Parts: sequence; structure tokens; C-alpha cells
Amino acid sequence: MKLLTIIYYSALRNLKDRRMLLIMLIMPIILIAILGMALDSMFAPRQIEKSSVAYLNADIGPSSNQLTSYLASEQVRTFINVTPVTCFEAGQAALDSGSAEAFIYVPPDFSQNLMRTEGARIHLHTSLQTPLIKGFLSNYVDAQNSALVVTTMGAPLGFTYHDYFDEAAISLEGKAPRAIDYYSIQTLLQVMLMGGWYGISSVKDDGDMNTHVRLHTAPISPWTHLLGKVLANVVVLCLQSSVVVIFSKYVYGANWSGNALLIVSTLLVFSILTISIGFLMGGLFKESNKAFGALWCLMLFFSIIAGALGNTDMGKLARLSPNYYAKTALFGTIYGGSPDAIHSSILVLSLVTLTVFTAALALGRRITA
Amino acid sequence: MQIILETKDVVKRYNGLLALDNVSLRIPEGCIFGLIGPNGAGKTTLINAIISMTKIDSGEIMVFGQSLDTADREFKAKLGVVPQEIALYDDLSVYQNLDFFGRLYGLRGIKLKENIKEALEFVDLWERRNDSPKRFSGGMKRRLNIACALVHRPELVIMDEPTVGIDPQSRNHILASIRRLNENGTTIVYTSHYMDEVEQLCADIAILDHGRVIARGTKEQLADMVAVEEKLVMRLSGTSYTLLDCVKGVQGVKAAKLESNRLTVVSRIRINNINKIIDCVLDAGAIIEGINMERLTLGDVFLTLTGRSLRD
Ligand SMILES: Nc1ncnc2c1ncn2[C@@H]1O[C@H](COP(=O)(O)OP(=O)(O)OP(=O)(O)O)[C@@H](O)[C@H]1O
Ligand SMILES: [Mg+2]
Repeated sequence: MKLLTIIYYSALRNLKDRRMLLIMLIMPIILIAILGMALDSMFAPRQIEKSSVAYLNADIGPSSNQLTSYLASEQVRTFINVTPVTCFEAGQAALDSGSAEAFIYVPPDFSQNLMRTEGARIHLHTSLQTPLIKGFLSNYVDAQNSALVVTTMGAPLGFTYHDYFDEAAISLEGKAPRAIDYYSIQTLLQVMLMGGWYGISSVKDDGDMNTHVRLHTAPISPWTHLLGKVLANVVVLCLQSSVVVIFSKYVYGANWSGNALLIVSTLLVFSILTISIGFLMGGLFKESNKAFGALWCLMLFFSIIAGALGNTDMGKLARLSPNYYAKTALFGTIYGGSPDAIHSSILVLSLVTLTVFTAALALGRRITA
Repeated sequence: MQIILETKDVVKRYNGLLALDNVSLRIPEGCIFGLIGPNGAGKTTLINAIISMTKIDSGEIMVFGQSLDTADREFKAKLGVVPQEIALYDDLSVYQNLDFFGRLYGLRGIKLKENIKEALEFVDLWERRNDSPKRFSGGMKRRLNIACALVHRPELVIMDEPTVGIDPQSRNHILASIRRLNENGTTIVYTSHYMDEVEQLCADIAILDHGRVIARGTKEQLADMVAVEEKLVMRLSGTSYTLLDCVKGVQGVKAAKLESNRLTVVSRIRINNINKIIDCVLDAGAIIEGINMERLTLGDVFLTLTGRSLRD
């Protein structure tokens, strides 16, 4: 019951912080609108065309037939125009002329290699270079990988598919995110990092307002106190991100479809991470201002390397940012990425969160003592 | 009478500074215990040690008959603290502050509501319960600071200069309430810079200086103690500072103080040094406009014992 009291009043105090409400609610809603509209042209052409793909099945065995029918299926045809070509050169030519954006080639020994279980290859060629799209495409490739395994090969073959595709990507235009979709996710994650301020205030406020004396003399354990604050912050942050999600979904029409449970758990884990970062900053820095400054720098760094600037591809550097994993998981579930990629992103995110949370708790001894 | 709070040879050092120097006090249940001492005497340090906000270097503290080292958390519920620094959430309303602290002590429902009302009436803030303390004057915040310590109806209340900056009218209201609280069985430890408050309120008083208890007793005992002193007060004009050195050099003078034309001299009793003191005054070129022997107050005990005035 005392835990509930601490949760209730900590959350209430968070929600009474108008400046934070502005940062957490108004700012993302405005930013999403601005970025979504201003940068829409970057995304626009890709939205209209349906991508076309040249397809050559040179396989002499039967296994690739399933791939052929898969490509002809309604599910795929909604997104891609698959045009069969008669020889390798024709596919190459289609790529060169731009009439196809990608060329899928199944080599003659495909079925044979499959039987040998050493990994058959489907060759995929594309001339697409846009780094921003590339990011989305990698999600899509994952989806294709797993989809292919499930629909055509079947798991029982014991087939490894991680090097299934030769080269990068193929585009799924109709399903690719628009600017508004992209920035809804990107901005939300960016802003959520600022929620670390709640963690900082949790650490600092009682010292600043001297109420730590009362908490110290009250019959509650420091851990109840700490846990109450963490939970309150997480609840508030989840509430605020839900508002942003719902607003961007229903007012801006941003795409938030996909596995709701996955979306919610990603945002939940990310909230806990953010709050833990706040607690850590609060514990590390003596003054609230400095802690806030550090949080701000961290937010910028994480956001930029995770692609806040839209079209900059940070490559492997992006993996240093927790935003990257949250983003990968969210894009993955919304745009049908491979479950493996989604799950491993959430796993990495959870592990990072656990680490930061533990570090914050270790400091918490100092904080609440 | 039962001892509700006891400190045994408590020592606390801050680097080189001896903030508490073998402080031993026994505070009986049901009394109002006054703890006075000049700035930096160690009053707050002692209180912090009692509520285990500060670790002591040696000695022992017993609260409700249990040693602090081994006490369970239960005793906390019976203890209320008014910290010297105002401790409030200024983003919560008056009522919410009390509600929050009350709930931390496990209070719920009607009982909680009653206690909140009582605590707010205690400090005359019931009418302002929905206001935010952010817009309160310093004195009103002080009053709320007191109420927050009382909401769980503690058996022992420790107040660290609770009435600083509160206007006389509210102060009287609070002092009367404290007396009523005490009549209902609450033990109170009270530190203050206001001598008159302590004189009025506390039957039992300890004087702390440089971390040491230099005097301890009832009002009467302390009065007896200072009865061996004599106090001479002169109104002067044209004073100079050399005068004070001269007076302090006079045989039998224990303390002397010069404050805007008022020279106060405390001497050992029956020394008959008044002529020598007057010589000093005249030598310094001052003119005596009035001369008086005054009754000694608690403040004078201070001056005598510590060589400092309480409000320095
Ligand atoms: N955290 C600390 N670190 C170092 N020295 C301290 C600390 N807290 C108190 N002191 C020192 O201990 C001594 C006693 O301080 P304390 O606050 O107990 O005095 P006090 O009697 O409450 O004074 P006041 O009437 O001004 O409130 C002072 O000399 C003070 O400088
Ligand atoms: Mg003090």
C-alpha cells in the first residue's frame, strides 16, 4: 500500500510538471507533423510506384517451384510486380534500363544444393542506393528470409538461411514507411529519452526539497521508495508515449499497425531504460542541471547515430544507440520484419536496460541512503 | 519516569571538527525538553544522529528503549521530526503533502482525514488546505513544516527551530498547541533560538556549545546556577571598542558585551568591581547615561557559559 502511495504521488508530481508535459507531449506532436510533412517529398516517389522485380528461375530441380508460386501469390503481388525473364542477361538488362529495381535469380543447382543442406542461394541484385530506404529494406529482407523459409522450404529441412540472399535488397514500395510513419517512431523514441528527466528529478528532488529527511524517518524501506519512483516514472512515460502513438495514429494517420504486444513491450522496455538512464545521471552528477545536460547530450548522440537526421546512414555506429534497437523492433513489427530480428533487438534492448537499471540501483543505495 | 530518548557519550566528527563531544542526555517521557545553543553548537547534528541521518563515530543512542543500531523500523512510526530546513513538496497542495506523509505511516480512510485536519488546525492552515505551498510566505511554510511531522500523531516529536520566521501571533498559537500536544502525552524535544519560547515551554533544558552539554537542568536549576552571577547594564554615549577590552580585564568579570550604546557586564557575585568598570568607561571617554543591575535571564546564562549571545 505504501508502494502505491509513492507511485501515485510520484506520478502526480511528474504530471504536474508542465515543462515536461510540453517536452513529452506537445513537442513530439509538433515535431512529427513538421518532419512528416517537410520531409515527405523524400519519401514520396517511392510511395507511388510499385516496385518491379525481374525473376529468373533456372533451377533444374523442383524446390524452387514453391518460390515461384510464392512470388505469384496475392500476398507478394500486392507489393511487387514480378516479371519473369528468360535469361540472366535479360534480367541484367532490366536492371540496367531501370525497368526493374531488382533481379531475383535462382541458379540451376538450387534444388541440388538444398538437398545437400549446405545452403542454397538465391541471388538478388539491385541498384538501389538510397541509404534511408536501405535501412527499411534490411527489415524487409529479414521478412523475406523468414517468410521464404516458412512458405517454401519449411523448417524441417534444417535449412540455414542467413546467407540466403547474395546482395542487399529489394523494395516493397507499397508497404514502405512514409515520412510521417518514420518520424512518428523516430521522434517518439527521441523524446522518450528526455523522460530520463523524471529519473533525474526522482533522485534529486527529495534532496533539493529536503523531504529526504521525512522519507528517511518514515517507516518505509528505501527500496520501496526507489521502486515506487521507478514504477511511477515508467507509468507516466508509457502513458505519455501512448498519447503520442494514439495522436499520431488517429490524427496524422501514422502507421502503428502490427503486433500490439510487441509495440507495447518495446515501448515499455525503452521507458524503463530511459528512466534508468535518468537515475544513473542523477546519481552520477551532483547537480540536477549537469545531470540534465548530460542526458540532453546523450539524447542527441543516441538519436543522431540512430538516424534522427533521416537520411544519414551511420552503419554499425547505430548499434551503439538503444534507439536503434527500439526502432528496429518497432519497424520490424509494423513492417513485417523477421521475428528473429525483432526478438533479438528486444533482447539487446532488454539486456542494456537491465545493465543500466542495475547500475542505477547500485547507485540507488547512495541515492536513498 | 521512563526515559524515552537517551544519548550516551555520543561523538561526531566532521573532518577535524568535533561536532558532538561526548553528548549524554536522558529525556524522560512526557516532557518538553529544550535544547539550546548558539549557531554551530551541534543541535542539528545531534538531532540528525538521533534520526540516524548522520552516522555517529562513537557512543550510543537509545530511542523508545531500543538502541538505534538494532532498532527495527517500528519505532519510526512513533517518531515525528520537524527539520530545521523546510521539507515540503511545493508542487503538491497542502492537503496532498499531509496525505502523502500520512500514508507513508500506513494511515488510511477516516483516521487519515481526521489526523490531517487536526495537524492543519494545529498550525492554523486548515483553511488553506487546497493551496500550493509554493505561494506561501516563509512563516506559513514553517507552519506546514510542523504539521507534516504531526500527521501520524507521533509519541515523540523532535523540533529543530520550528518557529523561525513565524509571526508572534502564529507563534503563540503554535506554542499553545505544543503545550496541548504535550498535555496529551506527547514528548517533545525542542530547539530554539528564542529564549522566551524555551523558558515558557520547557521544564527541562540542556545547553549545548561546541558540541558539549555545558549545562543541564530545570529552569529553576539553571536559574540557581546563574544566581552566582551579577549583571550590570549601562547606557552609554560616545563609546569605543577599547572600552570592552578594558572591562573584560577587570577582576571578576566573566563576560562583557557592547551593543549599540548598551554595555552588559556579567561578573562573579560579590566582587565589588563596579568602580573599576566605571573607571574603564570613563577612561574610554564614554558618558554614562544610565546604570542598572538586571535580573538574569536564560539568555544571560548563555552569555555567561558560552561567552556568546545566543543570537550571534
Ligand atoms: N555535513 C557537514 N559537514 C561538515 N561539517 C558539518 C556538517 N554538518 C554540520 N557541520 C558542522 O558541525 C557543527 C554543528 O553544526 P549544527 O548544524 O549541528 O549546528 P546547530 O547547533 O544546529 O546550529 P544552528 O543553530 O545554526 O542550526 C558546525 O560547526 C557545522 O559547521
Ligand atoms: Mg541547526
